[in-house]
Amino acid sequence: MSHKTPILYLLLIALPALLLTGAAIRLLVGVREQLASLEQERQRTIAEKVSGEVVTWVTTLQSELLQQVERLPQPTLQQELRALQQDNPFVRNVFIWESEKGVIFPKSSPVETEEQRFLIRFAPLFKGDYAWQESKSETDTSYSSRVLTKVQRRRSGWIPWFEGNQLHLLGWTEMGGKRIAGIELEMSAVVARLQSLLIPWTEGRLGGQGLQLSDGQGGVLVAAGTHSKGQTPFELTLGAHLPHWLFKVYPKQTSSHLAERNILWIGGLLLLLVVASLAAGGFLLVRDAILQRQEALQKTSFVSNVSHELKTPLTSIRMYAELLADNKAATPDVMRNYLNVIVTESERLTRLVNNVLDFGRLEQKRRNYHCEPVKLPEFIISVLETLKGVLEASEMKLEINAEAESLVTADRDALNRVLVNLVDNACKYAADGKSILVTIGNGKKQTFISVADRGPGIPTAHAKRIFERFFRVDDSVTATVGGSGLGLSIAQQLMHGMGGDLHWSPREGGGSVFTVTLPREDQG
Amino acid sequence: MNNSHITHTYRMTTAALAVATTVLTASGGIFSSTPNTPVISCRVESERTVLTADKPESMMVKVSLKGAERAILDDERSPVNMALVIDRSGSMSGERIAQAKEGAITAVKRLTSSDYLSIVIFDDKIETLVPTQRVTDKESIISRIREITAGGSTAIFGGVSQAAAEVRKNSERGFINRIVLLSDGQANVGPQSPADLGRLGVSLMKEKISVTTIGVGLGYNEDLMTRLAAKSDGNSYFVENNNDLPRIFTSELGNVLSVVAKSVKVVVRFSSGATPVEIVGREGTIDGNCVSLDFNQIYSAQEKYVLIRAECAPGKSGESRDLAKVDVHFHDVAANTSKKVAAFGSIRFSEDALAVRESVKKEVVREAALNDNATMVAKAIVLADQGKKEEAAQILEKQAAKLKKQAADYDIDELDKEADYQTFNATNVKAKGFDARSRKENVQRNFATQNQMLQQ
Repeated sequence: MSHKTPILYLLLIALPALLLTGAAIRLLVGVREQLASLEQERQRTIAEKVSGEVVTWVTTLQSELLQQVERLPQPTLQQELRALQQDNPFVRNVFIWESEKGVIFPKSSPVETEEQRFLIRFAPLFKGDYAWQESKSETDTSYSSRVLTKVQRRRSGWIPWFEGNQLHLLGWTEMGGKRIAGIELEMSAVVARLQSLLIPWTEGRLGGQGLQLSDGQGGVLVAAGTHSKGQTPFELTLGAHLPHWLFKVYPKQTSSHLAERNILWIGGLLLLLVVASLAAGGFLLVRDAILQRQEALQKTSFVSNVSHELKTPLTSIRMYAELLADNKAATPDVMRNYLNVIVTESERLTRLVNNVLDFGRLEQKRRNYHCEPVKLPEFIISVLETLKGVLEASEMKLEINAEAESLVTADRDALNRVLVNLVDNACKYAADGKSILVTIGNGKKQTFISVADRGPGIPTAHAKRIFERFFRVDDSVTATVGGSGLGLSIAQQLMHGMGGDLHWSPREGGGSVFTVTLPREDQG
Repeated sequence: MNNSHITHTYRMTTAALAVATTVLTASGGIFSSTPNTPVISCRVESERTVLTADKPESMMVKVSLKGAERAILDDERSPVNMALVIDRSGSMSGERIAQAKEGAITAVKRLTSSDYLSIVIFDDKIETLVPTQRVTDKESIISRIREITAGGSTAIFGGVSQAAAEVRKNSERGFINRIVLLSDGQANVGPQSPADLGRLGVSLMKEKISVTTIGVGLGYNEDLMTRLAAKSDGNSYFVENNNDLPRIFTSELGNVLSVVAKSVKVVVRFSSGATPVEIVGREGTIDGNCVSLDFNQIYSAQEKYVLIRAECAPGKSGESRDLAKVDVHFHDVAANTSKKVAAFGSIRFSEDALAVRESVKKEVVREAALNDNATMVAKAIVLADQGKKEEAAQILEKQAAKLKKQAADYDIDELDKEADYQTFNATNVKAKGFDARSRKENVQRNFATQNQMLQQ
């Protein structure tokens, strides 16, 4: 249960975060799609408008040209057609055709001229392999029908013709009898004019998008505006007037395209921020909850430990006090023995209570230190003297190795408490080792007091935590040795409070060494 | 002011020089500056004026137009409607675009407030840097030119189309219309074949817009650039050294400013004994005995001509025959009126071989030989492009030999020089074909020959 709970907490936080992420991504994708479809709609509108303009322009040009041909006077038709070709930039070639004779004008030439190439280009048509097809009256497209109706009075039309994959347009009209007169459109001039027709659509308020007019092979005829590689254009054919020609509108370079990207970026970033802060907040909350839970457990075990610790000496004191009260002590020696036990146990009780009181003060940061010069090793020896009872009770042998004398700055009560706790711990947990070695040594600016035992030592996994409050290596209620889990924590805090330190290290050959470091007064 | 009809007749009836060159100015022109010189003088000359009797003969007829030599003052010349089309694709970057800008600035400085100018720059996108406007605020135009930077691809067709649109805005006002295209690259956006650009040139010519092309460096497509210029009656330049650009701009502008006649329509009507077969090197039409073609403009003191190959029916010895009549309609720029000149040519038949030989017109022979040579060099270039170096070299060698013979036969130095050049050409082509430079040089020479452009 205990290690499943954090996972549950995390799940509870992660799940809404994930849901939020999902929803936000969906929303963003939706917005993006909407923008894309708006852009597509815009492209479509522009494509229709501009291609309509292109087709209108071409059909108007075509009908105007054919009307000019129709109006030419018959007797001087050749000269008039020639003049039209020489003056009209949109007329590439002219011809007169009769049903029996074929082309009667211009004359075929032995030299390769533009005119000769024209006759060869349309030879199958002029030979009669193809019919003179009339332009379809395109009632479906309003722009062309309006223009074409005028021409429809006589049989006439425009024939798209492909040579070398290039589109040529041949306009023809009946001139009376079996005569047909016509012109070939100058496609280069048409393309050049379409260029200036498209450019205004890529500039100013309407601008931004790239426009392209390409032939059936994908060869670009007119390019206006710009587009970047990989963009897919909206494509539209131009109908029967310009067969196979494609009009392409590329998406706008500026506003909407950028806006779409920006929205995605900002949205993504915001989402990331929200999820990250949720996760971080959740993590902190869960960690806090776990810590509080651990602390609560430790406190519970602390209370039961302390109660147990209090109860043991009280029981002894009460038992021996009752024995004395009932005059059950036979001899004065036995009576003294009883009294000694009562004294030892009450001293133990005092230590315990002092520890708890000290702990309370330290926790509330109310502990004041009265630091003064303390002479070593005399002070230590006097402290250890007071612990004789405890040592004897646990059958421990104490050795003192005081190599040097020194003067340190310390709060006598605090140092006393630290030493008592360390020796008491050794008696409690390392009694099997039978001996305690207290060593006093001098460093350059510090004095070291180490308390070494031959006990079971401390597993390295716990070594880091032994100075945490309430922590006990064996925290089970059924632990063989009692304790509050406060001793080392208090000792270290007191040492820190006096500007010294306390740390643990394993002892060579088994056991533990607790070393107290104090600043030296005489070298400071 | 002289309002009288002016008729100049130089009819030569001397039997030995039977060809006649007649110049007529028939319309009621007003010459303010040079009242006695016609704006255009026209001549009809045939290869020989005396043909061998009783034999069908093929010969070259040269119809030439020469602009009167005039000192053209700024306040007298016709205003110019010019568009500069400047390639600013990636290859132009550095020194090249800098010199092109200098060239454009030179042009701006030469123009006056009666002229119109527009500037179109292009890479793959076409931009009208300066919409057509009177050249009044030169500083602002120049500062816009200085902002040009290079980068991108090359949309030549689009750039010229856009420039044409700008020029067209003033087309009704009687300007001399000119687009000057400067590019150093292969067209790679839009229509890009020499044929496509050539057709564009033809259609612009009909709108009285000439395109002058300036190819810079060794990377541009000389076929495309010369074709566009030739079909629209503009000039074409090959500029290998960037530093020459300002000079070329000056020269081109000087050319444009020296136009004496524009919208020149030439109609050559052959007499019944002669039939035109082919127009050499120029765009024109032949309808029966009638040849017609246009020039967009005639420059001061510069001769333009057209060579027409004609078949002559046999004639009896001693017979004299009209060859052709030429009518030239044009617009006199200085007087701002339409005018007309005419010229006649005639031939004579003789059995006397010496008389036939002595009647040779060296000038016509020379130009015919050079034009024929240009056609053959173009063929050699096509062969060399296909990797047929040997065949190309053979053509050039044959050409050199032919020119040598003609030079000796008719005693014409220029043909001898040309023969030497072709010998040198043949040796090079045999070894390594045409490299970028020699190809451009030869295409450019051909252009100059066929379009009578003065060599720079």
